[in-house]
Amino acid sequence: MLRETRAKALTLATTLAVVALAAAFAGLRNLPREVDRRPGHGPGPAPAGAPGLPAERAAAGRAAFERLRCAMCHSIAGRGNPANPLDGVGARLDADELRAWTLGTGPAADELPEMIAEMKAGAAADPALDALLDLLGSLR
Amino acid sequence: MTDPTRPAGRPARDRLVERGALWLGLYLVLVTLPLFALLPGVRRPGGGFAWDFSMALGYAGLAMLGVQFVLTARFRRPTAPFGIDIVYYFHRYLAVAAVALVVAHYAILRFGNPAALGPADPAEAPRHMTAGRAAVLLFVALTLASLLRQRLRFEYDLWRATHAFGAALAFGLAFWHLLGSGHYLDSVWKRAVWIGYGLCWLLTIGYVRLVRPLRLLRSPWRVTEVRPERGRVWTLVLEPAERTPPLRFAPGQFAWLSLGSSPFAMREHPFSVASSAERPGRIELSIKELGDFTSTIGGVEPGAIAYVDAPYGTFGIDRQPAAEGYVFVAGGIGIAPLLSMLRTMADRGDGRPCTLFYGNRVLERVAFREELEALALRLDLRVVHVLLEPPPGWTGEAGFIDREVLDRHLPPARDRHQYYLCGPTPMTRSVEQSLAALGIPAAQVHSEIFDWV
Repeated sequence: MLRETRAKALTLATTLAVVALAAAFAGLRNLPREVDRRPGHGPGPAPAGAPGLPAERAAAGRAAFERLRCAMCHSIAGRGNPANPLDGVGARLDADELRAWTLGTGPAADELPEMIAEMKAGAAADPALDALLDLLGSLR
Repeated sequence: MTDPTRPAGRPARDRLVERGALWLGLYLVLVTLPLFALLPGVRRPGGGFAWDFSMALGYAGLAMLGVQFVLTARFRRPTAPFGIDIVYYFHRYLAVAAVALVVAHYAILRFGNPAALGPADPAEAPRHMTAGRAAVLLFVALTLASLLRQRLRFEYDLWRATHAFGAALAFGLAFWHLLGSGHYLDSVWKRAVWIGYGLCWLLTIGYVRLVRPLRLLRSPWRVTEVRPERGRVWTLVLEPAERTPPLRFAPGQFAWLSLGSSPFAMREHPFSVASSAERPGRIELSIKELGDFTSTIGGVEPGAIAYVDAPYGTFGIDRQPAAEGYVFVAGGIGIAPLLSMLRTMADRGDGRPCTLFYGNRVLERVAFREELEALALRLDLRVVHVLLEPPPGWTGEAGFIDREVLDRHLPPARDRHQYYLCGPTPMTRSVEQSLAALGIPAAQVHSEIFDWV
């Protein structure tokens, strides 16, 4: 059927164009920038261990990170939601700030949406909270 | 006689390509502009190519699925250059493409970055993520049900209601997911753009399901006669009820008919108008007993109320008014729109030469056989009956309407005629190929497909 064949061909062309434009969008969002060339930023293999942290402690922290589903909103070394990367967070925040942002308390509570603050409050009950905080502090 | 819409010296084929390119461009803008509108001023850094590609596919896929509602909303202007059958083909193939994009959106994250998706269990997952997963499943199920409808023997009316409701639900869920996860929606105006964009499609659904049925309800038609024809065909004669305007249509166009149920019930079926376009106050639909609905036509009582959403379609001689003559090829009940063209030509006193190839199984079941004989006296019309099972002593054509049959009976100026094909899909396909082999330019061959739903 001429018309059917034409509709098929046009659909295929349209779809390829949409996919190409989506790829262009992704390309534009990821143009190489100086700051992105730091090791550990952007997707890649997760580092074997966190520097300056015993392997056991780091593993416990990562287990808590997973248990608390932090990756739904955060990424470490490209794993998890890249909207809010935690790489370098240990250099940006001191220990008190880290705790406040992890639990959604203090100054962080005012800046976080209520729903997110509630989710974060659940971390207080995690037995490995301190290991998680150590892990985050080691991300420099 | 010249066609004012056709610039001199430019082949019709070029215009088709141009028009196709224009609409393709417009479609691309419509589905990707709202995505690119998210780029300026975005505060977050890129999340890696795979991440942002997945997000872009999600946004673009949802936009494509939104446009799906417009494609089948029966808006006359955007569908006019194509014909409604091709628009329904687009709807079908684009659905497959859009659902593929949405599945890819999910799959890239599922396999590339599963941690970001969180738990799949609805008891644990955030609601907007569950909505997204449900939307993907629902879209896939709806697409499969539509593609396999005939094989699954899914009853048409039930399928149609399920499809309309399910699609709106899936779109709503997907939209919830989008607003909930909101990647890139980091400013008030970006949220506003996407909420407005989604509302456009929801308004389209509202228009199709509420406003249009309401308008139909206010202009009912009445069945005045139900006439049996040869070959298990029924002619339904309809007249506008009081205050309903007559139906101005072009010969070859079709109507969506609701019979015995409210226009809100979504029990409409498309049929070609078979009567003359010069008699808009009394229309005839000739319907063959084929499926669930068509088999009930014979039992319709005169006086019954009917709702007629019409006219639709771009198949017909009035779209090619400059032709030197016309060739019609009908298979079985495919005669209906062609009969409308012939009856209209007779009413207009159009003396241009016409040839009708009419394929049927047996002579006894050739619908409108006698009327065609009468029309041949009023028009410059030759009727070539082609019978699959000819009676003893038959001297006419037998078998299918193949290249040899066409070649024997086509008029001398065959390349300056316009061709109209309507019949079962295998017939249309094979006649199109035969005409191409006989050197008839494709731009002069027009076909109506009646099994596109």
